[in-house]
Amino acid sequence: MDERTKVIIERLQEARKTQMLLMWARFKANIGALIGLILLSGIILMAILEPILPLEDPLAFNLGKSLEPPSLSCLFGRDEIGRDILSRVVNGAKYSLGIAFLSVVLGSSIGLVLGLISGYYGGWIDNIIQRVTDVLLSFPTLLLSIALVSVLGVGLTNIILSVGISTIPVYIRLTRSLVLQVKSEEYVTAAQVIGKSSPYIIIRHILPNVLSPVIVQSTYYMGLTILIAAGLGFLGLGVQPPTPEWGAMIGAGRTYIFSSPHVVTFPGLFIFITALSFNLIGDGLRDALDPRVRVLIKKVKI
Amino acid sequence: MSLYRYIISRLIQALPTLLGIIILMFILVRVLPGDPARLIAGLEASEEDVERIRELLGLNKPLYLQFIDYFTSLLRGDLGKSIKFGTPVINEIMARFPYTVQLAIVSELFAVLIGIPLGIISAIKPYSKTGYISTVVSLIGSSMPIYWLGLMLIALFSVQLKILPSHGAETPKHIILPALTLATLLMGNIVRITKASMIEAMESNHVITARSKGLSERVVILRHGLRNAMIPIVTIMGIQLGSLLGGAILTETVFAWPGIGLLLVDSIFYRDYPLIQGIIIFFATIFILLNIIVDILYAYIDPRIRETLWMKEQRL
Repeated sequence: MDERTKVIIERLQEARKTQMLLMWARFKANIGALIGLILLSGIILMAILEPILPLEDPLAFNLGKSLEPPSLSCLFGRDEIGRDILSRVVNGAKYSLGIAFLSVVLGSSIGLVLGLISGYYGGWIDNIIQRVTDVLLSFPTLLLSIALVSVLGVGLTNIILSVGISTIPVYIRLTRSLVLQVKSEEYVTAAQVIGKSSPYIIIRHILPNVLSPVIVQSTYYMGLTILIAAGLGFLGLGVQPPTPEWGAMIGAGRTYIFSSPHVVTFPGLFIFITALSFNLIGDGLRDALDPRVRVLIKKVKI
Repeated sequence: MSLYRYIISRLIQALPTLLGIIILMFILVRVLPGDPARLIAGLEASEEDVERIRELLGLNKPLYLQFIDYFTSLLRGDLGKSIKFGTPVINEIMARFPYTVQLAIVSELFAVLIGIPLGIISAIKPYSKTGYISTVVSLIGSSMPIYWLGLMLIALFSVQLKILPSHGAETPKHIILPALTLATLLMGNIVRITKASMIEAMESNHVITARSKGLSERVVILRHGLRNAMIPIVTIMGIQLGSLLGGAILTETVFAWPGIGLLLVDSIFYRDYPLIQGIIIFFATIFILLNIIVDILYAYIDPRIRETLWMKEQRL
């Protein structure tokens, strides 16, 4: 490598570093995003530290103390069969976070690959992928996951599959429009001219440029999938009791709303806080992005 | 392109999507674990009985023939018979649909009645504390587990204050809590759009003119500002009707509101596959139609949007 190439590479690396620093500066200036980051760290820490925290067994019941209201010795109170709600909520964090994370990883990676293919190659394959996307987009996300769950059946893996698959169409659309933007850039044309293969160009030149918006979209989707997975749990179509998943806890406790509202109050509060933290972080990341790309990202809702 | 031709072309474009939905639902139900004929006959039924039902339903024919049968009866408006009720699926859906429509309309009304004033307030001083209202409301809308919010509202208004009923649909009072719950999903967007378009409208020349005429601030805001900000607000209301469908499933379950969402959840528990299939196809069709109607209204209201929309359609 001669001296000049080295200098160019160094400059490029510096430029990339400055860009990252700029993004971080913009993110940091956003108070909401920082609050979101703190809230989320708290929830994650709670999920990690759960095994060593001095909590009761989340599955141990005690019928003598059923529906005990919150008190100093038992902060969140007890549920219908006397299980400690605090330890169930803490224990449930890993389900909500885990389901959301895995389904987003599943949905985004499939959507990313299909979107890259659809956008880069165009032609008939683009046409087929886009028509299928049309069909999937004609379902509200929650309805699509319910349809898939009603076929696949309940259970942890099926929930992740159903929720993950129902996020794919939006990722395909996002990636495809990003690829179409990048495809006409000079460096892509240059790579094509010197005879680089299409897979090489996609991975080397296009993927790095579509990745950050996809990540930002995923942050929003983390918030949404937490709501949807818990919603499925609430309907009885998600993770099944006695697993302390937050949505399932609300579904099981709703009968006691008239006498003991504390049974559903705390799991719901944690769903809200977790979803809120992802939405706050998403807003911060989105505003830190390039404005041309920003408009393509969809704020997602049930 | 005339408006009339635009409408026709949009409807034609929707046909392949609709066909796709029907094929998807057909395949999904056919790959189900378990034999629908056995399900209908019940576990105690003899093998001959199950075989008879299989024949009756055409389940012994090859798959493509089954699809053609299914599709032609769909064209006649026949979605099959519900396993649980024994009645045509379309009748069940039509009996419940008015309830979902009622809920959707009242929620939208609540969202507008609360959202537009909040939007105006946060637009008047966008960088003050009140300016943050729109951000907060829209964050709540996208982060709130509405089934939980519904339960909390029951705990407050039905249990503590005892002023509103918690379940069912007997009296007009019954719709208040479910509609309020569903409205939180919609409010965020309405507040945001109202804020944005009010800020724009308040900077326009006719508002400046109105001010310089010495009109009161109230008149300026309501008569000259808001009126010009209404188009985007109306549009977003239409677009949201679609996302109402998803929220309705959860809200109807919380409040035992007898709409299609509750029917869907019930039919999943009864494994009433013809009903599940019918409801999902119905839901998706409504969703597509709503999107088309919104696009057409869009084009009808604002000629500038009309131009770009039609150009976009031609490009696709």
